[in-house]
Amino acid sequence: MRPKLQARHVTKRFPGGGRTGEILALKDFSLDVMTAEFLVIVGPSGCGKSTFLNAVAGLEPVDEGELLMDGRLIQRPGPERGMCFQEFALFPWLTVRQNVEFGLEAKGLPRAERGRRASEYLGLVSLSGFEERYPYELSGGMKQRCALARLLAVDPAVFLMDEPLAALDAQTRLILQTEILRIWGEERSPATRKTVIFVTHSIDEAVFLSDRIVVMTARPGQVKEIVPNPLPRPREDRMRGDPAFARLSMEIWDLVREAALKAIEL
Amino acid sequence: MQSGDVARKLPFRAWPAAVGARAPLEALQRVMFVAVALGAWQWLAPRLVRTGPDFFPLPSDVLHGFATLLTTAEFWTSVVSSVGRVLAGFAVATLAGVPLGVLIGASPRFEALVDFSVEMLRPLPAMAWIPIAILWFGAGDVSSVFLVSLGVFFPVVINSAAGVKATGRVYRKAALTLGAGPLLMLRKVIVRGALPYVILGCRIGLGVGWMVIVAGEMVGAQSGLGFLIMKARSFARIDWVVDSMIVIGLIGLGLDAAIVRLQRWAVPWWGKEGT
Repeated sequence: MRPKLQARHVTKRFPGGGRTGEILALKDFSLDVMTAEFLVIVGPSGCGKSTFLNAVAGLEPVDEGELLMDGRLIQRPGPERGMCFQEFALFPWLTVRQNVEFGLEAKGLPRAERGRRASEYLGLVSLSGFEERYPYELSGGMKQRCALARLLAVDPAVFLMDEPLAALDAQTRLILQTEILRIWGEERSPATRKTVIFVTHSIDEAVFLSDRIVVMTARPGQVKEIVPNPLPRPREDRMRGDPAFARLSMEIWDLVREAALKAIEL
Repeated sequence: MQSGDVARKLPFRAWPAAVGARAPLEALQRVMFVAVALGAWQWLAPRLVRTGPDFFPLPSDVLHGFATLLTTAEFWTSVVSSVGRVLAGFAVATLAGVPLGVLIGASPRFEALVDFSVEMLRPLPAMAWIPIAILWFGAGDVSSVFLVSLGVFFPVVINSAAGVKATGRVYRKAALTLGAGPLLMLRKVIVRGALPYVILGCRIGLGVGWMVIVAGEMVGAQSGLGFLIMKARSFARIDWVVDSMIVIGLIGLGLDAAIVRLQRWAVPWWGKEGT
């Protein structure tokens, strides 16, 4: 399998303002993400996980190194790299349907086609019947499902998910983890799956979702270790109780712990 | 409206519902307060000052004045011309002010360019322009519309700019990753996000405009409620002066209520949780 995305020696700095000095968010960060892979990045707070996603999205330029998609340099945002945000980022002034249609309108699809596709994807995330609601009328889990539908509707080749479940309660999280795998196409052949980079704080989440887990160091963010996930697919909830699940979680925590402690002291 | 139906069905209505239950009592209290104030005016004023429709009208005089004033054609044409001028000035000011404010909010470079000029002109009361307005446009409709639009313009600009800036960056990020081009971004993200503030600016601006028109007509027009007040005063019909003031207040209230309704209709999501 060939890499879908490549980060080569990426360095990203944020100029410090006033009292704080310059922040080195990513330093010589290199990573290959394979086509159709579900890659999860874990690391302590402030390790540059989100910075990396923003850079891949094309929302933040990098200072050194390069980011490639299909061998081509990423220079600006585009619908082929869709993003999912921790704060959902649904447009509060648009209804659920209008939110999902936004990306389709950007693509220039005719109105009828937009409506048809919006209904289809809202059905996929079980939000049929909520089309005319505003985001403020939805629960957190429904909001993130709506954001997922909005993302799916534009059919990006790469999904960049920036702690999409972090704002949800623990039970909704577990349910949506399974949901995300289903939508990703876990039960279909790998050829039909999209490439996913999923950033999270939660080790259990990383173990449940991933093909590979990237553990990052504390700031400046670098790849500390890449751990392949041997758990079979499709993942099922009962696997959360498997000894293999626990062993892998422990292994990841051993890798993260030191950096997490360092991040707290900072 | 459909979203209103949805809102009515939602569970988190405890607070507005409680207000609704209290509403009849509140309305009664409001009426009683006005009645007591009018009663005090009617009873107390004659014991303190010289009263009468030619100098210090009592509520009874004011009421009596209405009976005659409302039958004159001049009163109604005054109302029409004042309201017409305010709406015309308001239209001019928002058509120019909203795009300017959005541009200021969206482009730091443009803001740096015009900020000084806007901030210098803004504190000038619209009344300061009266002499120039009369000189340029004569005493009439154009002068009044010009003054009103100046009064409306700045609150609209400032609030529109603030609205663009207050819209979370995350929405722009989301729009970009969904493939939005500049036009869609402007239309569906920047302007729609700023809309609550734009409407707020319009609300403040309309209030200012209504204040400006009355003052402007007192010196710079031959018609309108401001002119009517000056005319009634010169005929020593102070009861009509007070009547006109009451009408001005009520129309101001009505214009404000119209904007509040517009706000509820256009930005039903505003003030609810962010995303």
